Amino acid sequence: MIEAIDLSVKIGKKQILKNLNFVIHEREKIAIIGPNGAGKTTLMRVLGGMLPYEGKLIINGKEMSEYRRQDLAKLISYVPQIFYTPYTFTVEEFVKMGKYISIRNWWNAEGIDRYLDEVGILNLKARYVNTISGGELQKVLIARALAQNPRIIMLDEPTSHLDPKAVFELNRTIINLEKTVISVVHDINAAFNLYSKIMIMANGQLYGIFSGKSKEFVDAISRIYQIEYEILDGKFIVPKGPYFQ
Amino acid sequence: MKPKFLILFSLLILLILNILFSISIGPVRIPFDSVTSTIFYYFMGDPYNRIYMLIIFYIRMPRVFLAVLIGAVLAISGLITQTIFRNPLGDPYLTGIASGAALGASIGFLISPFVVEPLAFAFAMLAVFITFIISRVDGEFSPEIMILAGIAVSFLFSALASYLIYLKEVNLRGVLFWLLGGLYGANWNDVFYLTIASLILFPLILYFVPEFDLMLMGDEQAKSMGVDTKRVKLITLLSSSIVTSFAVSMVGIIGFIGLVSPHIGRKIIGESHRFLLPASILIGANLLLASDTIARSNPGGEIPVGIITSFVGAPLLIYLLIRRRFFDRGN
Amino acid sequence: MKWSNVLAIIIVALVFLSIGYYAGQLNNHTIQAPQKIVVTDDLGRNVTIYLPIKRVVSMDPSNTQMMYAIGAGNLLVADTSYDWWPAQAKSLPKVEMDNGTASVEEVVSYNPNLVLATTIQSTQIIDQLESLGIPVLVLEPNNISGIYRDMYLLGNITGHKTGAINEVNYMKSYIGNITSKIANLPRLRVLYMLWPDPIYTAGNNTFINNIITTAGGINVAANLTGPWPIINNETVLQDNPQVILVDNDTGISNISYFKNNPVWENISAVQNNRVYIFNQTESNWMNEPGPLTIYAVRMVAQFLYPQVFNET
Repeated sequence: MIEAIDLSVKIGKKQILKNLNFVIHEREKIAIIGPNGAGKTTLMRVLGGMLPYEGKLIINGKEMSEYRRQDLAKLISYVPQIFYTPYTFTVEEFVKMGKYISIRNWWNAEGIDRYLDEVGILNLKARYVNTISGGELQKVLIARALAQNPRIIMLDEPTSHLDPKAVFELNRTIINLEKTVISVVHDINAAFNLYSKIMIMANGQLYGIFSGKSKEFVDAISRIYQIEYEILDGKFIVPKGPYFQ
Repeated sequence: MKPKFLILFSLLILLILNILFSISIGPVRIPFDSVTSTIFYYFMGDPYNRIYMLIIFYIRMPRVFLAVLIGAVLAISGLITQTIFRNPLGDPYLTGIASGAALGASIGFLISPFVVEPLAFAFAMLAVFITFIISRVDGEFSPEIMILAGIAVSFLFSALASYLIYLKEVNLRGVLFWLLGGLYGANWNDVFYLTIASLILFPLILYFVPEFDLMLMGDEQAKSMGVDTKRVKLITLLSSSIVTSFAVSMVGIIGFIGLVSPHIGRKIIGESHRFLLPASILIGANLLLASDTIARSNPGGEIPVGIITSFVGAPLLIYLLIRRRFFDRGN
Repeated sequence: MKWSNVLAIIIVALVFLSIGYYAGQLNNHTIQAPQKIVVTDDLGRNVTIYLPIKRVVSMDPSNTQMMYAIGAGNLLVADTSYDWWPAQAKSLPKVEMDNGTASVEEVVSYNPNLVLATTIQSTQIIDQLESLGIPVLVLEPNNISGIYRDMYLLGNITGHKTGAINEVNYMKSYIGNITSKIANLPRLRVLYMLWPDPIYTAGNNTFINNIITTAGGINVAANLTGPWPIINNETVLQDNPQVILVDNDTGISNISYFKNNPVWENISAVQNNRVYIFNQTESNWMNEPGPLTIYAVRMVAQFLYPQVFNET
């Protein structure tokens, strides 16, 4: 469980996050959405333990800043947004790195096939990470996060820049994870349909937390982006009115 | 045996052959059977050619082993810098060691030839510490800032050294010869102390082999996987800086070995540090030993070894640049 | 416009600029003057000199010494802070030197009609002075007969021909006196040490090599290439020099530097205590080709054959 009380972050003299209050429960699927510059990535970094903060941030009953790096890695894994890596490691080696916190000589780790299988890339096992596609690499990174066996997985815009098939597969993988998932999402339809809770960020503040597939979420989105959205067939969020004037 | 172990084993065999070869050649021609017989008789207590014995045991052997050690030191420091900074152009002098040592040596020549080496070491370490202090962001070294800080500190220390030389107070000849670098005066004492330093500091670096591969992914990913990046950076950069400063204070500034050896290593054994680290060490040792043997065997008098390493290293680097665009690293 | 075109235009412009620049430099060299002679200096350059010579700036102690030795010292209007002989040379106005290189402005401020220099001066400075119409003679003999040649040259252009002839004859007889004494003695192997680590020494075509040879020695580094080669310590061990001459600049103060070294202690010169460390004046004699070179020859001969010279 993650509990934030008056969570604020300053970088230099600039206030990036202001007094955030929220609770994230076990196994929840959280989407974070908001305009560029709203503080989404900063929030992810602070939840990943990469940034100093003010206020309280309690992970499983213990203050974030009191965690040692190794212990935190057992709880939270952060999947960055990377679509290319130049290093000549095999997918197998890459995923084994996730085992580092349990086996320091991670290359001796066994039984990583199940993680590859879970994200559907067992066939890529022997390939080099610099030769696979962006979507495949995102899945490899998720498999690596799974190998870390954390309670919480955080993803930074996992599906942007990918083709529709890769998006579909990746979203299916993410939503079926038996973990708490916190994901920065730009696609409001994906947020609406796939996630149980959606946190809307604006100007470094938490605008609100909404349930998935709720009318309130669509209203909030309309106000934030200043575009009138409506729900079509209970599934699609589309702007009201025609595109062409 | 796995192929990667086979490569490491071959590099080791190559080093041993290189050592034997280097001991048996030099400006004074000693036939190979005389080399072996001199060594044999020396240990057996039988009569031997005294000049040959002196050349082999007191001139060539210390120099050969010093070349091996310094090659290893430069290669390991070069690799650490490239990995931690995630910069393919990283070399052991990135943190200002070269300019610091040059300033220390200049001050040393001002005082007495006997304090040149200690002062070169002290000022190299001073430059490193200044670079380290500047590059601390939120209590951790920032690679981007460290590269710039290293450049700034290098320029500052070089300027101070140049100013001392300009003021004519410094024995110009001494400083110039020192800056050129070389293993001329190698003796068993040097070999002994550098061995001790390496035995203490190499394990501190080798201990972090599991972390290095993860560090390649960048600080945030490494942290997320549970690596205490702060500790890895501090201990490995400090260890490699100390041992490099020590080596530089002995033989001056020898370029290219630290830059090129890890690149050759990656080419032949891949990215995993558990193979790359020992491979780079062996390649660095082989390269510097071969370069120094060429440098000292020139019949028209010795050539500064830095000239040879640049001649060997620069084309190798260009070749690697053409073969593999390793600049598109990062995200 | 494409970037490549812009680049091409810039390159072409630069090429024309540089052609103009160098052409201009060539023009500057052909300034006319009424009374002139052309002489060849030690770099083989043809230098046009305007007579009579009235004001001379010397940028090297060896050149200063030659001027005084032939009796032309009164023509000097400035020399350097390195000058030490004769005593008058020390009181002349000084051209300040940065790392051995003089400032052109300062040289010009003395309004010389001849500048004497060695190759320590950068070629830019020589070119700059010549472009201002000031002839520069580079006098850097690399053997003793070269000193005689340069003294005759200076004597001819300054009008001190007799002084030059007298000085050369004096030097010749002084040196002849030494060489006749050692003519039948066995020649000794000599290592000259300019710097100890690495061991820089004097090669075949150097002034120092000529002094050693004249004084009865065999320079062990004579077969190495370049004027100031590095000699490997194993070569030294093999050549086993009987005498070692150590320059004052090395900072070596006594023979213990060699005695406590497993390699050096095996060398004949060290075992027989025949290591000679020059004091500053002696180093100057060795390094400044000029009238004082005779003392360098005498000094080395004395080091090599004390039995001959101690009687006098």
